[in-house]
Order: sequence, then structure tokens, then C-alpha cells
Amino acid sequence: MYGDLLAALPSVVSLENFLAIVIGVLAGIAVGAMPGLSATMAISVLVPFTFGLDPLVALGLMAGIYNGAMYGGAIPAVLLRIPGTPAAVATSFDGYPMAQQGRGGYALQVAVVSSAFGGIASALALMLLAPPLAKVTLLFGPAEVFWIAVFGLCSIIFLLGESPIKGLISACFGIFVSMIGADPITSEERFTFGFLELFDGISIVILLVGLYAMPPVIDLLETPLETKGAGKALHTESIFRAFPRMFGYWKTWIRSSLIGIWIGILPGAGGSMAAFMSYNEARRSSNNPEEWGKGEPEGVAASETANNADTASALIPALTLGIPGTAVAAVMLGGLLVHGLQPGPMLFRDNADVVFGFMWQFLFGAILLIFLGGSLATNSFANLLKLPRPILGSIIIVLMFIGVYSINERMFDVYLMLIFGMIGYVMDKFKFPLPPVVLGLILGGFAEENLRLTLLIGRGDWMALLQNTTSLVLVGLTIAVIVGPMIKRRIVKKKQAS
Amino acid sequence: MNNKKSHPIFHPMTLIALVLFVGSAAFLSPALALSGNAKLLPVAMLVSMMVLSVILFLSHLKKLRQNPSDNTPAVQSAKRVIGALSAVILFVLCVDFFGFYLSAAIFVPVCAYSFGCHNIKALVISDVIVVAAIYLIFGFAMAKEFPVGTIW
Repeated sequence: MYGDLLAALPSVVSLENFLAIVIGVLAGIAVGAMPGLSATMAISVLVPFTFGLDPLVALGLMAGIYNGAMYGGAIPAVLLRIPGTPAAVATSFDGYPMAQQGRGGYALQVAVVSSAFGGIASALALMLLAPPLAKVTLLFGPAEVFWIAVFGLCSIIFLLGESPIKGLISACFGIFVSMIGADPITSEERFTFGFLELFDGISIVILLVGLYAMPPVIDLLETPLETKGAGKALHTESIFRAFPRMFGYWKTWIRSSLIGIWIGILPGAGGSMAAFMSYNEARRSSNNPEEWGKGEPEGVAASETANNADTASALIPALTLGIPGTAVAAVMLGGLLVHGLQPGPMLFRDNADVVFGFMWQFLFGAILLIFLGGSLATNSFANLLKLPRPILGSIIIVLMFIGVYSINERMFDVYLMLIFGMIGYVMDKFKFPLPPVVLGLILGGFAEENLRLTLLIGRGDWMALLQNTTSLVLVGLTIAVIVGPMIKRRIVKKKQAS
Repeated sequence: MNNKKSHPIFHPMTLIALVLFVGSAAFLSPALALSGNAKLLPVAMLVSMMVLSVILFLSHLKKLRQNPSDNTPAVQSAKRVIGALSAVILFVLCVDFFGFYLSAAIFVPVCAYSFGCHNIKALVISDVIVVAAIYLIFGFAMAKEFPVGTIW
């Protein structure tokens, strides 16, 4: 099981792979440093550009962006109190006061080292936990696979976002989109309305770019950003000289890593929840909690470790079961599909070198963060905040066009992307969660195929879906995921009323 | 896109529910025409969306009854949003009619200028860099061909 992991190492240790990780980390830091842009958007826009690349190189870029963006979000959080990513909100609590006291450089150094620590812990968790889980899921038949898809969808719908109704609508929309094209079993045309371009279904890339890139672009053009304080040179010593001063945070690093990994594995939770939980836990355990919020470096360490620790761990359920823990993981699943890699247990059997190589890339990406996010780089990335948002927005629009057009070199896809973009913008503004749409598209076809296979095997008997223990356990878990948050909400309401 | 002092029927959420219901109903007829199990999931999804759109509308009404002053605008500036959306659509149409490189070269500075960046030097520099980089990376190194325009 772990032999495959070691066997994949030589394929990762190549110049082009390292170059991809380095470019990914740098691009990720740049994206994270610019409020309004996110790792999800960056990976969505990047996915079409990776078509011609070796899958491992493409995945290295994505892993680098994910790692880099999580740290990059700390730069504006510390300098401007504007978190670059939602996961960096807790970083601003102590990071910004430190910057006000002239210790912004040290705050960012703590952030980069803590991010690297969290990233390394997360990559190790992925390496240790994913292979045995994949081995178990290899034993699943079509009925269990169907229930896994249902469980994954329900987890995202009911645990992510404020309204289950909106989550359900998003998922139904995604599943419906997955039905467009030829029927997987009979090849009968469904909802193509005579358009040959729709016969093979809708590429996930078109949906990803439309849903995840359009809303931030419109936001970039809609609202000007105040960046007073950005671009001032940060006076910092070498990161390696500052490192010994951070040894005192080792307990926070370990505790926050464990919290981040756990939150990452849970479907529906995300980096911001990990950062908040970890910040509160570290503050509670601190000897001087009254100093927190006034410029306590350990607060930055807690938040940054946790939000990076949920990166690779979010891929544990994503790679083994096809259930992403976060929105970025959902987009990464799309990236895997683009390269012909179907997430799930078969991935570990059929593409062991790629999937295990991907894990190594996460580890190397996290280590490289220390070297790439040092003083010089941080100063340069802080200057990105001065870049005019309208220029950035118009460049991203051009990149969106290139990415989508390049898939099949046809304008039809671009118009389709525009439609999804507008739908995505409305959904985003009215708080319809977007990950269920992506997951619906990924799991919809998968669920339908396995449901119909089960019915075929069972000669049309619906009870065939419930004829083994694993299926029943999965049904139980699905019910728990649906009912659990409702009960929790009731209890909270009762408590508030009393 | 805001709910200010308007009748609940004109609220964005009501319109979303209505569009969802009508859209799902429109697709239901071709879905029912499918054969055997091919219609199973599409029909289930469309019917679910119709039911959910009704629930969405009712829950919105309930929310309004509980908190009638809930009129937080969804966007800061509706004009700028419409402008941004129009810019994207216009760019795609221009690419289709006039070709990619010409449209991109005009779009980047004009769009940025229209949305508040009035630094001409920055606009010209960014335009030259973007178009040249796209040509060198995609046109030259990757030999990608972009639309040349249907009008020519």
C-alpha cells in the first residue's frame, strides 16, 4: 500500500515538476494576496491551460496554487486588515495590530513558517490516511458507489452554506447539467436540442470557469479597493534568523495542524472554520489570553497553521470517495477529470503513480513555501495590492476566454460559459452555494450510472440498493448528515429562547 | 438587485424562484419524452427543482413576514454590475465578429478605463504586455489559433 507511495517519488523528482510547483506556489501567493481572488478561482481559470501538460505537472501547479494562496491571504490581512481569502480572517486579528506596531514583517514570517508547517502536516495526513481508505472503498459495488455519491452530495448540501433549500437547488442544477448529452447506457440524446456540441455533455471546465471566475471578476470591476498602507517596504530580517524565535509556537503548530486536518476531512467545513477554531483553541490554552487581539504572534501562527493544514487533508475524501471537503477540492476534482482521472477508489489502482505523485507534490509545495514566501517575495507580493483592480478584472476576462475556447476551439463553449457565469453570479450574490453544483456535475453521471447498473443487476428491484450492510451504513450516514444539522439548529434556537 | 420598498412579488428571490419553476417545467416535457430509465433521474431532478422553487418562495415570504425591513441590497452598485456583465458579453461578441487579438487589444484598456483606472501609462503598458504575452505563449509557443472574426 505505502510501497506505491515510495514508488511514485522518482516520477515527481524532475525539473519540470519542481518548476510547476514553484510557479504554482508563486502564482498562488499572488492570487491569495489580492483580495477578491481565491484559490478556487485561480485553479478554475488554470485548469483549461493544463490540457497539454503531463497530468502530474498539471496537478503540481494546482497543488502549488492551493498551498500558496492559503498563505497569500495573510499578506493583505496583516497589512490592510483585508483578508485576501476568507480563511485569513482570523490572521488579521493579531497580524494587523502587529503591522501597526511596526512588526508586520515578523507577522508575515510567522505566517509563512506556520503555513508551511500546516501544509507539511496536511500532506503527511493525506499520505497516511488516503491509501488505506482507498483500499476499503475498492471493495464497493455499484449500489455502495451510488450511496457514496448520495452521501457526498448530502454532506455538501447540508453542511455547507446557510440554507439546505438553496444547497439542494444547487445540487439538483448540477445533476441536471450532468444529464445533458448522450445517455451513458443507451446513448439516447438528452436535452441537446439538436446541438452537436452538447452530445458529449458539458465539459466541467466550462462550468468551473463560468461559476467560479465570473463572480469575482464582476466584483473586481464593481467595487474599488482602498489600499492605503500597501506597498510600503517591510523591514524584516532573514527568515532563517527569525526562525529560532518561533520555536515557542510548537504546541500551537501541532494543535492547529490537527484541527486543520480534521476540519479538512469533514465535508462542508473549510479553511476559515479551521482557522477560527484553532485561533480560539490556542487563545484558550494561552498563558496570556488578554494579549490576544493586540498583536500576539501566536494568534497568527494558530490561524495560518490551521488554514494550510486543511488543504491536502480536504483531498482525502475527495481522492478516495469523490467527496471533496472544500470548494477548492471540488474544483481540483474537476482538474483531475480533465486529465481523465476519475476520483474514487479506482484512481489508486489505475493511476497510482499520478495520485501518489500528487501527494508528494503537496508536501514539496508546503516545504517550498518557506523559501518562496520569504522577505523579498513577501515585499513583492505586498506590492501587488497596488495593481488597479479594473486592469486585473479585464485581464482575467481575456484569460477566461482563452481557457474555455482552447478546450475544443469553438465559440459555442464560450457562450455556454457566459450563461453559466451569469447563473453563477446570481447564485453567488443570493447565497446559493456553488460547490454542490460542481459536485452534482461530477457525481450526477456517476450516481446515475451506478443506480441503473444496480437496477439492471437486480432486474428492476429497488431493494437491490439496500441489500448489503455497507449500503445500509451509508444510508444511515446520509440520514445523519441531513438530520444532524436540523437537530443542532433546534437545540441552538431552544437555548437562545431560554 | 435590491428589495427596497417593493412588493414581494418583485423581489429578486421571488423572481429566482419563478425562473427556476418555469425553467424546470419547460424542460420537463422533453424529459418525459425520453425512454425507459433514461428519464429517471432527469425527471426526478426537474420535479425536485420545481418543488424546491415553491419552497424557496414560501420561505422567502415567511422570512419577510418575520423581518419586513430585511432589504439588504445584493450588490453595491447595480449599474456597475450591469456594466461589467455587458463588458464581458460585448468582448465575447467582438471576438466572434472582429477576431481575438484586435478585440483583446481594445478591450483591456477600454474596460479598465471605464471601470475607474484612468492612468493612461498603466493602461498602455498593461495592454501591450497582455496582448504580447498571449501571442508569444499561446499563438507562437503553443500554436493555438484564436477566432479571426466572421466579419472579415
